[in-house]
Amino acid sequence: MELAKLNRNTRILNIAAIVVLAIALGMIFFYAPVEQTMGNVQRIFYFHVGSAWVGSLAFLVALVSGIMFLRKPSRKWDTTAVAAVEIGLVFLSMAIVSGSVWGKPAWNTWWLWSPRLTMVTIAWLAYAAYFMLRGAIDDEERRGRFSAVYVIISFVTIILTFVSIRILRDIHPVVFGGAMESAQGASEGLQEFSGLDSMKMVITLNVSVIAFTLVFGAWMLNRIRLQRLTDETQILKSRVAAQLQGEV
Amino acid sequence: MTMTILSAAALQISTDPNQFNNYLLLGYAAMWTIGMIYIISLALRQRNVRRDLDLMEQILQEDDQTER
Repeated sequence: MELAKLNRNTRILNIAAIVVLAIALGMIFFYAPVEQTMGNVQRIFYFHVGSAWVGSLAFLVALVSGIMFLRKPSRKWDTTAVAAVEIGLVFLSMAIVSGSVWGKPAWNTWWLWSPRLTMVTIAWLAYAAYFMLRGAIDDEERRGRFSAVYVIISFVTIILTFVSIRILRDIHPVVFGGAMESAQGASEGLQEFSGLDSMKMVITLNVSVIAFTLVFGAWMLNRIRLQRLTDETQILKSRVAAQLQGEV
Repeated sequence: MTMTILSAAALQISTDPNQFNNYLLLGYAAMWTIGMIYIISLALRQRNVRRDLDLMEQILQEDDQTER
């Protein structure tokens, strides 16, 4: 029953995530300046980028877990991959929804089938299908192996989502390392918002990204713990079933 | 004429940063809702698993006592 209790690291990470998230929120609304073109609605951007970053990080963790599982099959890598994909999907959903809400005042539409938005939809669907694949295979060893291969291949959609705005004409702003692309896009009238205006914005964005990364870490530990508890319960259920069969 | 309209529009945007605040609220509300749904789902799944775990341990203990 040791598993049932929260361990010290999980507790510390849970508290740290809440504290840094509160600091990030405070900075977003009281420290970061108003963006000149869009006004206050640009403040969505700090959580939008944070959630998109953590979504990508989660799928990277799933990719590494998949590779590790194929190298040396172990339940812990499978569990890590499941937790990472599940949490990645939650953060990707947050990024998509917040982006859509930001898009309405910025582009005058909730959704556009631009390369970035199309690729992120494909990525979301690919990772959602991961759970369908797992649900369709009963044998644990086969399920782990197939899931590992699938999660490795699926990461292509994340890479394509990242590079889509850099290699294709897109209305979506390039935030990181894309000064030239942003300037080009802005000059072509493609982008309303073309970057971070001030150092205060950059600092706020960094704090948001750190906050979301901590939330990701905390959720990962909690989700992995839940999976271990589930596995433990399954083992006990099998023992009970065996005993009951023996009695009959 | 075009320049006048464009500069008027730009001025309006720069002087009214609150015009899209409803979208700001909607965006944050949507993100928090998604996050909270996930946290609640984690808590519920954990509660159910704990119940199952306790029940299984209880059955096994009772079974052990009966055997003795």
